Formats: sequence, C-alpha cells, structure tokens
Amino acid sequence: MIEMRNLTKRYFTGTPNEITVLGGIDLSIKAGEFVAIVGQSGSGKSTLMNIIGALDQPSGGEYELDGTPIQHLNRSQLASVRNHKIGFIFQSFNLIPRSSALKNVELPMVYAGIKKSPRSLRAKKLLDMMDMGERMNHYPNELSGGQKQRVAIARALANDPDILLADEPTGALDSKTGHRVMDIFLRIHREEKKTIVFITHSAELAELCPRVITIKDGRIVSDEAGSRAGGSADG
Amino acid sequence: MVENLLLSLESLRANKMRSFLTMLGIIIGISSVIAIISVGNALTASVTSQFAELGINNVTLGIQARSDGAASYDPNSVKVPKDSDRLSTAQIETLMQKFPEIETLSLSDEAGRGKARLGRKTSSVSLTGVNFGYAQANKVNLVRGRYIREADIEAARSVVVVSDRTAEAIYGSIDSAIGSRIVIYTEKAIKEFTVIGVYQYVQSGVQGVTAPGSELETGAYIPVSRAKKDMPYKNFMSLTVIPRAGTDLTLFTEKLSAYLGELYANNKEWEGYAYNMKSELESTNSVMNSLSLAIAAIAGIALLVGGIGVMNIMLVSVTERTHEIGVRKALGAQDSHIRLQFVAEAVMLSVMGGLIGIVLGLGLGFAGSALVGAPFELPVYVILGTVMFSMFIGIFFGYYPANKAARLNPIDALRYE
Ligand SMILES: Nc1ncnc2c1ncn2[C@@H]1O[C@H](COP(=O)(O)OP(=O)(O)O)[C@@H](O)[C@H]1O
Ligand SMILES: [Mg+2]
Repeated sequence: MIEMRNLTKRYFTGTPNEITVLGGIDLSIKAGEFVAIVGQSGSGKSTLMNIIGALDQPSGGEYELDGTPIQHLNRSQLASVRNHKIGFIFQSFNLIPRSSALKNVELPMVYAGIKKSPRSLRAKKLLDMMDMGERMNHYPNELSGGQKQRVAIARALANDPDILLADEPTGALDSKTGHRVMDIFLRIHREEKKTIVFITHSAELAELCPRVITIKDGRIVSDEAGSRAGGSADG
Repeated sequence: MVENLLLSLESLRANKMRSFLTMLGIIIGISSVIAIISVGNALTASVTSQFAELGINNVTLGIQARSDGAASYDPNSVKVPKDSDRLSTAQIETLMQKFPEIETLSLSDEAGRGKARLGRKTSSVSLTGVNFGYAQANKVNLVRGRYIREADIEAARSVVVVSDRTAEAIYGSIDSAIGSRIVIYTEKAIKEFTVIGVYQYVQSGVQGVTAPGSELETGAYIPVSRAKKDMPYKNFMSLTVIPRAGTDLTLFTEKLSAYLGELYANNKEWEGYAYNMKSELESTNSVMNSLSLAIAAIAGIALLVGGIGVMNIMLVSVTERTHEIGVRKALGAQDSHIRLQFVAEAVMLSVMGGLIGIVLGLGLGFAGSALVGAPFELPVYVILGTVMFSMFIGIFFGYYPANKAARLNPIDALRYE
C-alpha cells in the first residue's frame, strides 16, 4: 500500500542554511496494517505523514501509494488521491467552523461530486456510527473535544478511503477521552480493515498498536510490534 | 453551486458590518444608476408631454433676418421687416395650394397686452389676432359659445373669445359672458368687443409661469383681420401649419424650407425658414442624454471603486481563511472547488449590494419623479440588467482573490496559523 525508498525532505531557509527534516526514509506499510509513529516533537512525524497523504511533496527518493508514483501526479490528481484514498484526522480537529457536523462530514463527498441525498444519507450513517447522530446539526463550537474528533473521524471515512492518517488525534484530549478515540480507531481497523497510520505522543497508546515505528531526527530508529497489541485502550 | 451560495451567505452573515461597508460602493453606484434612469425617464416623459401639448407635429414657418454680413447681434438695432418683406395673404393661399399635406393653417398676431374691463372688474389678457385654424393648432378647447369663423375674419368683426378665467373674473360665471360687450385696453388702444365664446384655460409648464402675486394673464382671441386694422403691418412674419396625419415631418419641413428659400432668394435682408417641434425635442433629449451620461460616468466610477472594495475584502478573506482552505484541500477539494467558493462569495456580496442599491435607487427615483412632476416609470429590463451587472462585478473582481486561494499550496495553507 505504502512504499518509500530513501525518501528525503529538506527545507531551504536561505543559503547556505538547509534543514534536513527527513533523512532517507525506507518504509513499507501493507494494506490493513495499523501503524503507530512515535518520536520527539520536531522529529519529522507530521512531515512524513503529510507526504504519505499527498499533501506535501518529498525532496528526494521514491514514494508509491497503491502502486502509483506520487511525484508524477499533477495538482488535480493529487487532490483526487486525497479525496478518495486518504482520510485525514488532525490534533486540532480542523472542522469547518461555520458548517454543522453533518455538513462537515458531507464535505469530502461534495468534493467527490456525490449527489445531495445519498451524500447526506451516508453522512448521517457515519455520524450514527460515531454516536454523533443526535448532534449532527450542531456547529463545531457547540461540541466538546471528544465529540469534535468523532465528527472528524466520520468525515475522514466519508469517501471510504483505504488509508486513515491521524496526526496526534488524542493530543488535544484528556486521557479518558483519548482512550475512547483510540478504541474507535482499533474498531475501525478491526471491522473496516482500513490501513491506519497513527502519530502519537502517548507510549501507552502506541503499545496497543500492532506495529510501532520510532522516528528520531528524521530517521527511523526502530520498527517493532507493540507490547500490548490486540488489547483495548480501556483494558 | 447552490451549496456554495448558501455557504457564502453564511460567511457574509458572520461579518455583517464588514460586508455592508464593502457593499457601499456598489450600493451607491447601482442606486445612482437606477435613480438617474428613472428620473431621466420621468423628465423626458414630462418634456415630451409638454411639447405634445403644443403640438409636436406642427411646422412653424416664417421669415428671419439673414445672418450673413452682420455677425454681431445688437439688441438696439433689431431689424423689423417691411410689409413687403412679410408673407402676404395671397402668398399664404398659394402655399396652401402648393402643399396638399397641409391640413390646417394657423395664423396669429400679437395685438398687445392689457386688461379686459367691465365696470370695476378687470382681467389681464394678451390680445391675439387669430384665424380659424389657430384653435386646432394650439388645442384651444371651447366650453361656451362659438369660435371665430371665416365670416368674422372676412368682415373683421369686433368679436372676442375669452378664457374661462377672464369670464369668471368679469362676469362671475362663464354663462353670462356670451353676448355681452367688453372693453379691452392695450398699450396702443381701447377697443370694445362682443364676447362670442369662452375657452378653457390650461396651465402649461412651458407657456410662461406667472410670478407669485402677479395676476394671471390669459389669451383673448379676436379675428386676425380685426387685429391687423390697428397694426402698421398687414402681412405676416410667421405662421403654423398642421400637416395631415401620416406626413413625413422631416421631408415636409425640408420641402417647405426649400420653397420659402426660393421665395426669398432675391431678398437681401430676409430669408424664409421652416422648422418642426420634433427637432427641438430631439435636441432637448440630446442635452438630457449627455447629462445622464455624465452622471452615469460618476456612477461607473462608484461601481469601479465598489468592485475594488469587493476585491480587497476578498483578499482579506482569503488570507484569514488560509488554514480553512488548507483543510478543504486536505479533504480533497480541487482548485476549481475553492475558486468557485470564493467567486460565489464575491458575487453574493456584489449582488446583495446591487439589490440594496436597486431598492435605494427606486426610492430616490420615485422621489425625483415626484419632484419633476412626472409619473414614475422604470422598465423591468433596467432592474434585471443592474442585477446582471452587479453579478458581473462580483465575478470580475472576485476572480483574482478566488484564484489566489485556489492556487495555494495545500500543506502551506494547512500549516498557516
Ligand atoms: N515549511 C517549513 N520550513 C522550514 N522548516 C519546517 C517547515 N515545516 C516543518 N519544518 C521543520 O521540520 C521539522 C519537523 O516538523 P514536523 O514534521 O512537524 O515534526 P513533528 O510532527 O514530529 O513534531 C521541524 O523542525 C520543523 O521546524
Ligand atoms: Mg507534528
């Protein structure tokens, strides 16, 4: 599903300064895997995830998503990849403030050109699945952090993508709510067979993942199975 | 599309004050356009109706001093044509025979201004010698008695047709006026006349406005031959003809002009002329048109400023919502989706401004028409056109900011705080 060879990302902050954020990443993630990425702040986790999600472009190396070399796609094709193959979940939720929960979930389907009635039907179903059906007409500022993140997860699932990319989805939540959100990801992985890449600061949550990749200064320093993989966050 | 419009309405509602200030330029521009057009229409309608009252189809012909030679105009040496320079009754009759297009010929001559008097009661009149055709050419509406006939003219009888105002002022009622005798004093003479008819006086905007406090002066019509008796000149300086319905006025006027030109070809001081009210009206229209054009130019500038205001606020909006644009792109929005969203917002802004401007402009136009004293009228296509135009402003000035938003790099937009 995800194949990276010697992938690098550099920023030029005016000559002669050049920052290497990712220094040669070799990574292979198969369909249906649940991978946690851990590492210190600033180690390059988000940069890596944004490249995986076709939001950002690498400076060097190769990246194939589902057999497609991402470097060779144009803007419109990249947008289409993000729309159909990827579901993003962010630490700060990133819901559209002036749109209701329902409208937020419908948005990726609007961009996919899905008609009004099947679109709102699916959005309602997804919100129900996240236990947010009763609050579908609420606006983001009327929702708690955990509720917002559940709306965001429903939105990420809207176009039934192959891959869910979650960048510290529990980072802005208290630990109890964070565990509930983690359980949702585990359930989605189990029931929907989605490939999930999950960045977290919490060692406790990372241990629950079947595979944990540790990044330090833009390089993968370890790649192993989580010690409590298969368990539940509430366990 | 509808989705986008609703969405943009929400974002406008979120910034009511800012949206309103942005719309101001468009509101001012559109409302002045609407106001100008409706007041202009009202003005044209009122002028046209005034001219129609006088008889827009009438052709006036007469003689005037040749302008070549004496270039400067000296009011002290205004030339007066000799009787031999004027149009004689015989010449006028020949004219009637030469031009079968003429339905009626109206002759009139000022016989002096003064007062009609009976006992101690008086009424200001302007004594005018007229022929039978004058009534038709000037739309004199007889309400009692009879009008001046050919027989009156042939015999140069001392009969008069007075206005209802004069009749009421002197006799108290129009009925008792008929058949009674009346004395009319002018600067030149004191004459006695028999009242044979009373016509209805109609106040007209063009026919001299009476100064406040001064007495209303109305026409008193006597046979033209009777008037000529007291005047040094027997022939005429000008006359009016009414052509038959369906006559090509421009062509007819040209033919008359040519005929008179030939008639006076050998006269060194005087020349003949013929003109039609319609040409006067057209020149009045053209003055009004250029006035409208000037105001329209100002409105255009207001609209331009309004459009730039829309562009400016949209650029601000794009910057403010850079992060949101990043989120939308992360969710898979194409450039075209983002572009459409912001163009829709700009269109919404300008069309709302346009609608407010139309309402305001209609109010102004209504007030303006009332002031001019003409019925308010505005074609529907003007309103539709204005709506379309404000839509166009939105698209034109919204495109650049919208395109800027669409071209943002997804990750840079998303990381923007
Ligand atoms: N646009 C940029 N220009 C320069 N440096 C950047 C830019 N974006 C990210 N970085 C740097 O890349 C490094 C990695 O950032 P990030 O991937 O967000 O780390 P993490 O998510 O692991 O905390 C940081 O040091 C950050 O300052
Ligand atoms: Mg990060």
